[in-house]
Amino acid sequence: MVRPNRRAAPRAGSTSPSDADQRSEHAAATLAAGRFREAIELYKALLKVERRAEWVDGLAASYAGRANDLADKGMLPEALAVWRNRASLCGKPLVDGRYIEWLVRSGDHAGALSAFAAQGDEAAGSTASEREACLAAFALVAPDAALAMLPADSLLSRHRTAALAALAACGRGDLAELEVHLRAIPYRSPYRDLRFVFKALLLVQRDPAQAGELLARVAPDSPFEKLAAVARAAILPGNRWLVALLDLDTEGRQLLFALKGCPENRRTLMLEVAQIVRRRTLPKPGEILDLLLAKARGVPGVAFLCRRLLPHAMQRVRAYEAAYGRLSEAELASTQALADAIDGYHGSARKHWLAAVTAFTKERQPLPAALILRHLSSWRLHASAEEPFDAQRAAWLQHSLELDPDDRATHVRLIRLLRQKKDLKDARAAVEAALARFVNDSEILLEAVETALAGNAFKKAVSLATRLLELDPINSQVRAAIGQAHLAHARKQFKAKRLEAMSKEIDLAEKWLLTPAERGRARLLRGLSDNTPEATLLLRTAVSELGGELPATLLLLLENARLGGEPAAALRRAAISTARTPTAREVVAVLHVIGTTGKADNRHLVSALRVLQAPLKRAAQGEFTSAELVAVCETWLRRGESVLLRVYAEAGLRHWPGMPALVYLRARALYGRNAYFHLPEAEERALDRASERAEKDGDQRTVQRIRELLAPPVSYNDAFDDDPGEEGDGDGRAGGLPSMPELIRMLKSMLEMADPADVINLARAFVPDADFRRLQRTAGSNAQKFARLLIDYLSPGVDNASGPAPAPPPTHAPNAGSRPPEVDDRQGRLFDD
Amino acid sequence: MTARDVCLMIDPYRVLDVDPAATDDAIRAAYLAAIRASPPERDRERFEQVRSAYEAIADSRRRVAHHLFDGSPATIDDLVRAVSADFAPSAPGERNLLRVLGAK
Repeated sequence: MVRPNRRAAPRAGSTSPSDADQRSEHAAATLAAGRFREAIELYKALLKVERRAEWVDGLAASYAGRANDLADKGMLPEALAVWRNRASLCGKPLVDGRYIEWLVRSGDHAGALSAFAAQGDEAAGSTASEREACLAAFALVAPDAALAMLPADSLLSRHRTAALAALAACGRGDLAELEVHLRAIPYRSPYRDLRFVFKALLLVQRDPAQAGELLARVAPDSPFEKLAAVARAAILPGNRWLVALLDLDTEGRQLLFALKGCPENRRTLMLEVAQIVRRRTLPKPGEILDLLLAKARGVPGVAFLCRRLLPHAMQRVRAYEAAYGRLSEAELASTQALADAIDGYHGSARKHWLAAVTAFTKERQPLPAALILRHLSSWRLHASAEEPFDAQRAAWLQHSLELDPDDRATHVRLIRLLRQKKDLKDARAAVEAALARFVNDSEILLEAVETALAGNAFKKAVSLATRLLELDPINSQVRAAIGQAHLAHARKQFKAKRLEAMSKEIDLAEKWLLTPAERGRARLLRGLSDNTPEATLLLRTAVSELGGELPATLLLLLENARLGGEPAAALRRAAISTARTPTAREVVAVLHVIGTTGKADNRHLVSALRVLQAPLKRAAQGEFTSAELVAVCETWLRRGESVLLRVYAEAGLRHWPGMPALVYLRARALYGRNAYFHLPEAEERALDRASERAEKDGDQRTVQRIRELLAPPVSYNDAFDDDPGEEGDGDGRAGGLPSMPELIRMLKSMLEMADPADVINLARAFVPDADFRRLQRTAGSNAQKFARLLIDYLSPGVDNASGPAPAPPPTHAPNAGSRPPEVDDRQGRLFDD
Repeated sequence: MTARDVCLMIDPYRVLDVDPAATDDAIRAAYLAAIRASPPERDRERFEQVRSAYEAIADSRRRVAHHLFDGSPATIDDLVRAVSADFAPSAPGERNLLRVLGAK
């Protein structure tokens, strides 16, 4: 604010003519600069010397400017006082400019109406219609006596009746009648904005878009802006109306609440909720519960939310029970269990879930009890070491089916679980129970077939499969299951040198197998089973039918390995040369074959891939897309084929230098998962760059994988385990155990830096039990000494080859190549042929 | 449904705009209406949300499971819905209009 420069206004008695001119110019400049307060003082000083017309006008302009400034700041009484000074001191008309508007805004409607009635044509600064418009809102609510002051031909008076009728219709929500009355309000009427506002108010719910269009036509300085603001708030989407609510005055809020249908006794609560919405931060669950229980316990939807919040604020259970009644034992136990689960106390959660099962059963509510048991059976976190989890899971599922036998999915889960844990007796019982309840259910029948096959009850499996195919003739899963069982038996017959029986089995398999690929595999088996020219021809036909030379070769080698044949002889008979360079398409097709090969065939797959390694390496130069190449690399990584992984990753990096996924995969190929111990500095820098690039590309998986690769192992298991799901790191030491010197160095540095318990834990895996216990006894309770003894025990192995070799770590996943074969004895006791 | 699933779920009753006591038929009707309003080609995210919500509470068995295992934190929308679910929009009221215009 510019304070008046009192020094600038010299005393009147000391003014000379030239001095007065200078001061007049100074006052005019001050006025022009918008320093109205200072200009008022300057002109007042000048007028004390002489009452010149130009100085009177200057003073009037200064007052007007000052009044406008004050009004714009909302200081309406001050603005009106200054305006009145302008009229009294400068002889200007009072009803002029924005005077009536300020009267209306300051709430002096009667004064405004009186001023409007008293004004003449001499009033300047605004048109008569503008001044009328200012008064339109007041005219609707003013007493008739006040309106009597208006001229008879005033538009305010003439259109008031129609406006009031429209208001009444709007208030009742009668849109049809409202339209009738609004038609009586012409465009030139001071009530014209009501045509949009009233209609919008009735459309906020049924057609917010149209209401918005109507509101857009309301003038910004409309006398009905307060009504328009309410309508605008009402059409805001979602919860935003609550934020707008806070910006309205009391009357506006009440109207908005009425439009939204908020009961009067909930409006205080809604204002608190509106504050929460405005802050955009939900208070803690306990605080919300406090608010709701104190102010909204009777609201229908609130009980549900309070119940939902309870596991997040268990300390409010008593308050909740005071509002909504006591929780049953089962409800309390299940709520506590959920609260524990949310907080990560899984052991306690399990205890309370089981208590809830008991309580629900006692309360004759079998369904929730059954659901909890199913929930527990799918929850792995709380499995304890003393309790074989699968056995417990199966028991829970069985119990849940006793409580609620109608859940087909649980029957299927139970059957599969029992079959997986080789508990075929119980699996068969579960199948019988399921079939008794779901007689013609194809999914249960398929499980029955699988269970029968697992138990070598082949005839029963065929009978069940036939029954299933009657219901579902195109069920490919059951056809494949039976067909593959016949093929497995055919192999067994081959090994027993019963070729006729084998041929019969293949015939039977071909009846079940429908797809060309499946039938092709059956022909492969037939072709490999004999050395006749016909068999060789069949073999070659099968190879040509199996989708490209490389995938067919892999299938041939797999089948040959199952029969115990020599790979070279099989390739020769099938006229396949491994000297050819396969195409990229063939490599991609090979991935499919690998993906569909069961775990039981893992060792055969390893040997087959070994035969194909040379052509596969040459194929790395093929025309792959980057996605294909990464997919191929990922397969080699999962299979532990580190040589192929390196070749393909390097080939990819030649095409797409610095591609983060390939940089990572190449490092995995070269240094294994345990790269921390082996990475050269240059490789670390390359991985850092790849990580930055992956971050930029939004490839969070690669970022995370690189981070893990560069991080030191946090525990013994991390140091030596392979990725879950990865089958090994292939040949060589890369990714495997650190060498003995490295191990000793690790142990020593751990002893220097950390608790000896870490050293003991790590060394535990490398020291035979008897020696470990002996050293423990020697050290007594001195953990530091025990750790040193363990290091000393392991140290001779560094210098002396006869020292204790590191025992295989207990949790180390074996490499794909060294995995013991899984014996498929499914057909072991099959057929007494 | 696992605890992890429910933790990530938006309140299915709010997604489908149905009462917690709604019947199977009412929930299915609300689901079909929501799917019609947000077909996958128009709003994939909303479609998935609606479908997940329906899968969570489609029948009484699932609703009991949801009630037992729903550990998802409440949101501001949940709070607003709870306190305003029974609002019945009404006419503005003549008196309310007059008061906004300045009537005492």
